[in-house]
Amino acid sequence: MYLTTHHVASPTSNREGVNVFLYLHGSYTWQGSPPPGVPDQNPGTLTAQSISVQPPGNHVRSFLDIVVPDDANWEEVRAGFMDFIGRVQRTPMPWNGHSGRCFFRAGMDLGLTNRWHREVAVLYRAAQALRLANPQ
Amino acid sequence: MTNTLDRYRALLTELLFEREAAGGDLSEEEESYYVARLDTLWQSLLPAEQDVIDAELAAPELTVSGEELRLVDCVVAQGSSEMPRKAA
Repeated sequence: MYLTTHHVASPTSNREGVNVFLYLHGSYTWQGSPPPGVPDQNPGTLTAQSISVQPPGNHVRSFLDIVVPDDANWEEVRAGFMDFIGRVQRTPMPWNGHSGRCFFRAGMDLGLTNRWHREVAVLYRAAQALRLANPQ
Repeated sequence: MTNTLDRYRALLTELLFEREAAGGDLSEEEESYYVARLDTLWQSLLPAEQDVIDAELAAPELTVSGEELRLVDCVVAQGSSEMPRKAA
């Protein structure tokens, strides 16, 4: 599963919003870290999306990527995410790393970093909402 | 360093995220729940680990490698395996 959340800004209307994309890998699974190529060359199959500012061409102001096997429940993702953020938050962004079977990446524009907790929390909550609404 | 240090960091992160999700403040009961767990973990930390946490909390704010991400989003059709963003 590849679950990615974007905080986007339209270059034409200046509207901002959060878009979320849920990809699944079906029977393709793994233990530990994701196989090479997941998610950049193999994000899986787009299964659900939540769009508040229609692509394409929006500037991505921040993002959160979550990569786990499809069978991971949200408690596994949540525990991995808190562990990940707890460890990387003193290092320069963009962040990437894994905790257990969960791999995470996150980045944001410099202008958002003074409220980075809120920014990452919004991305995380949006990802959680789309995943829990599409439990297949 | 022990796993307790990572557990302390994760729990502190969770507290900060829950505060954000609640709009800035948790109820007294919720706040007390986290503080009690943090206190218990704090007592389990070695003095050197407590110093690490103190130094981290006093550290400068988050840094980033560039001013902007320079990424744009893409249209992705249902059932597609295209990435939803690319370099600008």
